[in-house]
Parts: sequence; structure tokens; C-alpha cells
Amino acid sequence: MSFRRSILNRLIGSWMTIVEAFQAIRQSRFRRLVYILPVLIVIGLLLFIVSSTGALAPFVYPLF
Amino acid sequence: MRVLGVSYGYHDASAALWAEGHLVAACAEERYSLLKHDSSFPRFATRSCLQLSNTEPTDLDAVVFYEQPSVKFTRVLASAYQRYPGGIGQFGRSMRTWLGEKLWVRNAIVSQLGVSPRKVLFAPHHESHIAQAFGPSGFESAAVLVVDGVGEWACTTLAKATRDAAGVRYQIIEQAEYPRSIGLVYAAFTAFLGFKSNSGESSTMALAAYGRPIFVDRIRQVFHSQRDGSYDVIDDFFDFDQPEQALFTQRFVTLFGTPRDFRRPLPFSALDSSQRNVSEEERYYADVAASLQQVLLEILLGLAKRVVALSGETNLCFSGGVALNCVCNAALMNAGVFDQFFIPPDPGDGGAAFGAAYWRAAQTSSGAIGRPINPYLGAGVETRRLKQILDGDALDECLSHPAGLRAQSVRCRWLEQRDEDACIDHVVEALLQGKIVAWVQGRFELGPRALGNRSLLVHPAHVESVRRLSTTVKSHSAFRPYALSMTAEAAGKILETPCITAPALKWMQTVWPVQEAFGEALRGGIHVDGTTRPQVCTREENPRFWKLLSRIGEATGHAVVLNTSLNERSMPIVSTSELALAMFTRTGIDLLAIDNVLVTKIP
Repeated sequence: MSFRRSILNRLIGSWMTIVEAFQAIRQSRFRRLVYILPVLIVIGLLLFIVSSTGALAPFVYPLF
Repeated sequence: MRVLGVSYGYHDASAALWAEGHLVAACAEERYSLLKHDSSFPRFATRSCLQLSNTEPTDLDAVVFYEQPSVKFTRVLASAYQRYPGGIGQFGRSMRTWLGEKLWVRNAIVSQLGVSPRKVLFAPHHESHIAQAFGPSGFESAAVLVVDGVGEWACTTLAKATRDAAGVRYQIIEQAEYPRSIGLVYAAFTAFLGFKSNSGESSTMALAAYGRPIFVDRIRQVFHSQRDGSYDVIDDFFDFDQPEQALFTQRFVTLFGTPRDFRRPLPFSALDSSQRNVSEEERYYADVAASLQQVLLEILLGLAKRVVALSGETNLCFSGGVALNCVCNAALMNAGVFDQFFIPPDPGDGGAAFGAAYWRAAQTSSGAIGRPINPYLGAGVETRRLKQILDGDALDECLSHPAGLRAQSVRCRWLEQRDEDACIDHVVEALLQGKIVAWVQGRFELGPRALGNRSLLVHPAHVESVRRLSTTVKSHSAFRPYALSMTAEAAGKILETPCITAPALKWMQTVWPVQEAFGEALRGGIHVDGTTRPQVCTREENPRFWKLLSRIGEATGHAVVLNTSLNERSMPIVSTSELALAMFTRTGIDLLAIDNVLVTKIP
């Protein structure tokens, strides 16, 4: 599988998963959680970016 | 149609391939990764299943995961929401795992197999179990009972399944949702009794044989059956949301006392008729285990009656982790609530991968065929490389392979027999001399039971050999019993059971009393309560192992052998001939038989 195809598949897969997660919450007894999930996903993405790129390292380093 | 079923992320990751109307391969990841109850993505198991059926990932019509991660994620969020503001730390850890890994199952499958994301499907967890139980049962219609820890929300499911030319239809009659979980209550008691939850449940069951059910009323205060067959779990005694900690609360400890210290070995022995040096405290824990076992049976019996009544069916299929409780399974069979009873091989989450494959196949006409299943669905064994290993430089490499365990410095002798009969005669002779034999042949078994293809065999009359097996090979706790394999012909005389031909007896899924007359001759494979967990072997299902048993019968009068899984403590059952050789060299096994090849140690 080409690199481009693989990236595309992952993007489609991620999108499908996010849609399914929202659908699952909407169909459950806890519909109000729909508002909590986007916040968690943004926090998750930020954590991922920060931990994988070291973007905050120049600011955090002087603290140690 | 080709469907790959996959399970991972909790425990017992596995893969299974369904192709052209039947299940062609199924195995657990632990057999390749050598990590017991491995929960990581089953990449080796998947590769093995595809190789066994000459299938490329691109040939697959669907890849089915055994549960719906998005729905399960909702349950995790909802549980945290209900506990708020408590459990913030646990919530943070849990979200890290879910948002970092567990939610993205589709992407993991896509990147591992290179399939289109649209081919990845998610079966509701208990529907995987229903398909796993009903698909291979061969019944036209049946009531289905699923009891386990927890799937997405469901902990117990009562259903009805029917088969016709168009496919299989499942109708869910009733479900008990989290936290009303029988499996998790049993896991909590397992932790209380000093065993590891989610893997030590068989130890709880074994311990029950040493106790008296005198705390039944106390157990019923936390967990009991209702008159209509449903059941109740009292929330205040359990805390299932924090799996890293104990599954029970302080109120549970107030009622049942201090949990048993897992570091102290239990003084019971399955091989001794009288138990000596047992303190009051140790007897108390055995009594709790026995009482738990009785209450569990009451609940399962209530559920079985309820599902049979609500579905109007006379056959019952049973799956989920609780279906591994052999004592309850036998009592259910004895209760006379239904006509026929079916438990699939590996009824827990390890087998849910093949359930997921059946679930998808059942939606098509090809899935309507209820072909009987056999449990020999893993990779085969080959002996060509063994000779090279024993003769040449590969020995060190082979012996140091599994998890870095070192081999003893032994020299081995290779002895290839000309035919099967000569090999079997040699093995029978060794068994009658009290030797421990590792018996390896054909494809390995699905699930936690060794059914004559990856087995350790000892003649049960040689109790000292059985003790040696426990100390030098298995590092087996003395309170846990061994099991017996016997031919169907011998089983009728030896066991006190109403039906020796039921599949549950073929796959070591039930426990039955042994006739008193055989008590001494088969002592090594009988528990203190006079029962055994038999494998009733038929010529059709495993002809070579049946022949071995028959030869033992010709020599001794009883076609029976003690059969336990070919693994060491905390290791999964051996899969390949190299691993079998490695285990042979570093443990007290006397003879290794791999197909028609025999390997002995040179003193």
C-alpha cells in the first residue's frame, strides 16, 4: 500500500471512529456527555502533539 | 466469503479466520508472544491464521472486532461522570489509554493488515459471544446464555437464536447491564481469596473443593438470585471502576474480613485424602470459596431456567468467561432444565474472536451452516528443524528463546520411529514406568485446555510421578487438581455422568464424580472431592490420541491418562516443536514425543 493511501486510510479511520463515538454517546442514557467528548479529544490531541514533537521543551527545560 | 475475527485490548487477544462456510483457523496471541493472557494486537495470531488458509489480507471480505470500542468508551465516560468529583486520577489514566490507543481499533487494524477502513466492522461484545456459542452448536434453534465480566454495557445476556437458509438470527430477550456483573463479582472474590483476578478464577474453583458452603447466607447479602431467575449485585460492596485496585470496597472487607495474603501458600493438597496443618483462617477462605461456588450455581441455574422459559427453546448454548466454571457447567447439565447443552471451545474472550467472525458470516446464507467445530485450529507442528537443532549450532538459539529462560545443560537423544504404532508403544511403556511424557502432535488447541495435541501425560496410578510433575515441570500449586483424558468407551464405566457424548465432556468443560472403584487406580487425576474434569476422547475427533489411550487401556485395563497442558508456570501452552524442545530440556520431562519423533535425555 502506498504511503499516501495509508495516510488517507488512517484519516478515514479516525473520522469514522470519532463519528461512531459521538453516535454511541447520543444513543446512550448520558447524552450530555456529547459536550464533554470534544474537550477530551482536543486535550488528547494537544497531549499527543506536545509529547511527540517536544514543542514545549524550550519552555519546560528551564524549570528543571 | 472470508472473515477475520479479532479480539484484543483487555485480555487473551486472539484471531480467527472463517472461510468458505467454516472456521479454518483460530489461535491466541499468547502462543506466539509467550506472554500469558497477552492483550496486545494479535499480529502473530493473525499472520498464522492467514498463512494456514493461504489468504492475503486483501482477500478478506471483512475484519470484525469482538466489541464496539466507541460504546465501551461511552460506558467509561459515563462511569466517571457518575463518580465525579471522585476518581479524577483514575479518570485521567483511563482517558490517556482510551484516547491514545483503545478507541482507535479501526486504525490499528488498518495499519496492521492494510485493509480498507470500511472493511472493519464492530460486533457488540455479547453478540460475539452469542454467535460463538450458537454458530458451531449445530442446533437449528436454541436459547443462549452469555455471562461474563462486562462487554460494552451488558454483563449478562439472555437470547434466542435460530438458523434458516437465509442465515442466523439472534433475538436478545433481556440483558443485565454494568455494574450488575456476575463475572466481576467472581473476580472480586478471586482477588479477596489471594488470586489474580481475571486469571486466577480457576484457583477459586479448585479451592472450593476443600471448603464447606457455610457462608452462603453471607454471600447472598452481596450477590443473590431472585425468584424469577434474575439476580442482584449489591453495589456498595464492589468497585469495578478502578481495576488497578481491589474490586471490592471497605464494606465488603467489614463483612468478609481481611483479604488472604497472596504470598502465603495454601496448605491443601489435591493428592492427599486428609488435609493436614490447615489453620482455621485457611479453612475460612476455602469455606468462602465453596459458598461462593454454591451461590454462583443458584444464580446460573435461575438464569438457565429463565432463558429456557422466555425463549421457549429446549436446547441451551452457554458462553462468556463464566462458562469456564466447570463445576457449575456440570451442575447445569444435571439439572434437567434443557435437552441439549453446548459450550464452545474457549467460551471466554479468547474465543470471542471466532465469535466475531461467525457474527458476520451469520448475516449471509453461507453462515447458516452449523458445521460442528473441532478445537484443533492452531498451527501444526513440524519436526524437520528439530533434528538440525539437536545436531547442530541452533540448539543454544532454540533453548534460550522463550522469555529468556535458560535451559539445563542436558544432552538429548533423537529417536525417530518408523511408524505411529511403534511410537505409541514406546510412549505407553514410558508412562507405565512412571515417566512424564510431553505429547505433541498436529495443530494446537484453541483455548486454555490441552486436549491431546499439546499435553503433558503421566499415568495417574503413579502418584509420585504426579508430585514430580508438579515440582519439576509445572511448579503447580498442590491444591489445584489435574484432569484425566479417557476414551469414550472407558468413560461410561469410570464417570458418574448422564451423558458421555456431550461436547462439554469432550473439551474438559465439566467436572464429574469418578466411580469409587477407580479411586486408587486413577488417584493422580482425581480431586479431593472425588471428581475429575474429564476429556472424553473419541476416535473421530482425535484418532491418534484415542489410539494412545486405547493402548494404555489394553495394557492396564483402564484407557485413561492424566493430561495437563504443556506449559510451565506463568507461561502459555507451547505451540511449536522448538518451544516444546526448549521446555523439555529445562524441566523434568522424561520423554518428548513430537508426532513420530521421540527425544530422550541422556543421563
